[in-house]
Amino acid sequence: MIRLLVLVFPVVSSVALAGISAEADDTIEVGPEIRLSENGPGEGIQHAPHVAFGDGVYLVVWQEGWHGEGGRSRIYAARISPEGKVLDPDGIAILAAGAGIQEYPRVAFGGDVFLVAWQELHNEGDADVLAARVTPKGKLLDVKPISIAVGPGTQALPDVASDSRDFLVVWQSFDAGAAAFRGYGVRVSPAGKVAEVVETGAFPQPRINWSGDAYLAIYGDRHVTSVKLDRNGRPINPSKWGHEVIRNVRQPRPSIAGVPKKGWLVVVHRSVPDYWGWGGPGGMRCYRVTPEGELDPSLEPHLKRDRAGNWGRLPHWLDLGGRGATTWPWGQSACCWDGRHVVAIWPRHHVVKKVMLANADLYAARVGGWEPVDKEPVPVATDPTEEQMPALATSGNGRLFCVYEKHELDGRVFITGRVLRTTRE
Amino acid sequence: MQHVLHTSLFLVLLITGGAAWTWAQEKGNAQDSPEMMLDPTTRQWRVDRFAGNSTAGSVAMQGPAREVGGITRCAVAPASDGSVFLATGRKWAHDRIVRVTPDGQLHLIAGGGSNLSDGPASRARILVGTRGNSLIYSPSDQSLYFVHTVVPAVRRLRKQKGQWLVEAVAGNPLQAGHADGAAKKALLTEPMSIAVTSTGTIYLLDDRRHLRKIEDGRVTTVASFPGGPKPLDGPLNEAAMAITDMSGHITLGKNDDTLYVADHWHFAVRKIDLRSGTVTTVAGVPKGHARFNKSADGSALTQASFNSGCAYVQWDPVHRALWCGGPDEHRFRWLKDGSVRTVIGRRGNRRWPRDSLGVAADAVQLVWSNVAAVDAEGGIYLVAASEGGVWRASLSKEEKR
Repeated sequence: MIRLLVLVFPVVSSVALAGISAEADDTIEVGPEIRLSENGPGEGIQHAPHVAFGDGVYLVVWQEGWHGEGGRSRIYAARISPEGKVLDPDGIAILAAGAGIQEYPRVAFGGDVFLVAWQELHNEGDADVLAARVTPKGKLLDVKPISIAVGPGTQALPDVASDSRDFLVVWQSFDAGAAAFRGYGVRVSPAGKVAEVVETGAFPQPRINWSGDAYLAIYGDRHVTSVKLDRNGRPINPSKWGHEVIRNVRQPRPSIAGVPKKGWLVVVHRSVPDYWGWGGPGGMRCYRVTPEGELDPSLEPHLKRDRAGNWGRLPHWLDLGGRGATTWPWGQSACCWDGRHVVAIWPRHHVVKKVMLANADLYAARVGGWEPVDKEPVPVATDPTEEQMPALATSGNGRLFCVYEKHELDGRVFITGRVLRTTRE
Repeated sequence: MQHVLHTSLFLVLLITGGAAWTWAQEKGNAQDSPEMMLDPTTRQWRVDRFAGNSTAGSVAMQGPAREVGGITRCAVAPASDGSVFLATGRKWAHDRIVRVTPDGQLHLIAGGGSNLSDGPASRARILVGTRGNSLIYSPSDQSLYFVHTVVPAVRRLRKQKGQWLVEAVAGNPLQAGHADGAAKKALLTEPMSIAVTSTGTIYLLDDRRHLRKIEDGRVTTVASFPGGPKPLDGPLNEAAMAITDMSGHITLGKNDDTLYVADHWHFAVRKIDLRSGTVTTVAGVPKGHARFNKSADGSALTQASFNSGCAYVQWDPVHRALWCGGPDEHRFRWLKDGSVRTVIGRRGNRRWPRDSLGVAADAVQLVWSNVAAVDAEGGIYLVAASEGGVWRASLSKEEKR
């Protein structure tokens, strides 16, 4: 694979900041790769990064160490300056002394602190959702973590967002004696006070974001479904529970960005390749959800083929993989509002033996409304190694920080980041 | 002269008419026989959710096996200590191996890294085929063997000093080819399916048409099957097979000298007698037969058929039967005493309590499904493309797990 960084830096300027040209064309500028922490206790096994921005710093969180049998993964964090300087090269251990396996960290900024939430598997099968606050100065405020959901049974896959005043943590729970998962949420104040747990109806694998007057939770397995939640996590219009946004998505990993006063943007893949082409083309798609929590009615969702039978890329698609294609967009995406556009980043895989997805790279595009502004996706990370599981946050003024898993060929996985910029200074 | 012509015409009509009548009789008999014949044991089978949950979602989790998400259509390999290994992940290439311990907990064992060389499982790039018998446990050396067509090697997982390690036992994971010889110097092309004998000899279906053997540290080619439109029986190197990219199941039978092959595009189950080196067809009517391509039950060679080809075979040593079926079938059938019969599942599209325990066999509704493995207690592991997870079926008189 060819390094495409030269394409990412169209014009190099003397006002370069952290490797970024300041007078590039109107596009996404991609900074150099930054490895966050090489010497952690996980010995080169780092997974599941997430990032938020607040009070002048980004806080990146990830799981450090092997999380499988015999492992003891921990949640770590590191602050990054807006220019991409790692402020905590040794990382901040969020709960170094805890037992069990800690996984799936998520982070948001609200009030004047970051809230980190994660799931902990202990006692051979009992999973809980815990949280801890970290200040922008890098101080861990909760040495003993905040108990978000610690009852018997499985409480898992949390997400957290902020309305800038408080936090809302959501998760899925398989309560003891239950027959199925259910979705719950709870408001947490910047002081660490936990409010009453409410049922959100958002499961499985909920993702939430705030857009000025409400949260939107998206969730689902085969269909991506949405529900609007108030500051306390209660559904605003219970009749809208289970409002389907996107149908028929295999193994969805949607991402969501709140757009002030305009609703939300949801990014999600289409199918994986198949031998027969029955699943149609691969696509990374944008869907705008209105402030009322409904799919933008102007969206034309129907697939079209050209005369040769090839699938066309629809206006709201970021990327396309068709039958016989050598690349295919699929997998966990990330997106966030940068003050002018939503910026989305997603994995684009190489296709091996007609149907196998291998060696993912990361591409990005800006989105206006629900249409990509960048008609050609911008390469962000395209090394011969695999890059996946991106997360994205913005410091405002068109500057963002993207983190992802970088898989080395020797089997080590490091959390790696790049500064992105979408606006000229 | 005219008399002779009339006589000849009469004889031709008689012979042709007789043949047509015979053919019609056979066709009529075949059509008269119901396409679904329930096995007498059907009412005694119960199906339990074994791993996964329909409400858990697709993100990989660990914990109680019946609650976790992220379990796709699995490859399954029961081990001798009562635990069961599952390979799961993506649609065409499972990228994780997990273990369900006898207490019902699911643990991640391997996957998440990119390393194709030997080393810790936590850093390994795991690729396990989703179509062939691509994951199998060998009690003789307590190893879990796995293959995928993209990685030209037979690799294994085993625990040493408390740590799971991945090791290539034959072929080079980074170089494809076809060369026999010392196992680690030999080259494999596209490993599809493996079977391990009681003494640890590995049979490998490689590149759809080569049967390779790994024994005493050496790789040999046992047979190179020619293709062809008809499932010709006979000596190993003359018997035609029509295995596709989407299939390639092999399984050992009642002893180490019997190997069954799901001959996909011949719509037939083939049996290889490894001692005599001969191939015979044991189930599936030929193309042109009235019941061809219909997933029909009945007498194995004259009435039984598979829908969209013969996709899998799985020997059941407890019930001394061969589970077999096509890729598009809704039922689980076995070949026993010369007949193919439906044991579990039904046609239709009704909801069923997929996350429950003790579901009656005729209530099960799994589509694009197959029997993925059989354990030493006679438990049958069922998987399906229509929904994620694993189910375990057992005769109700047998011990529940």
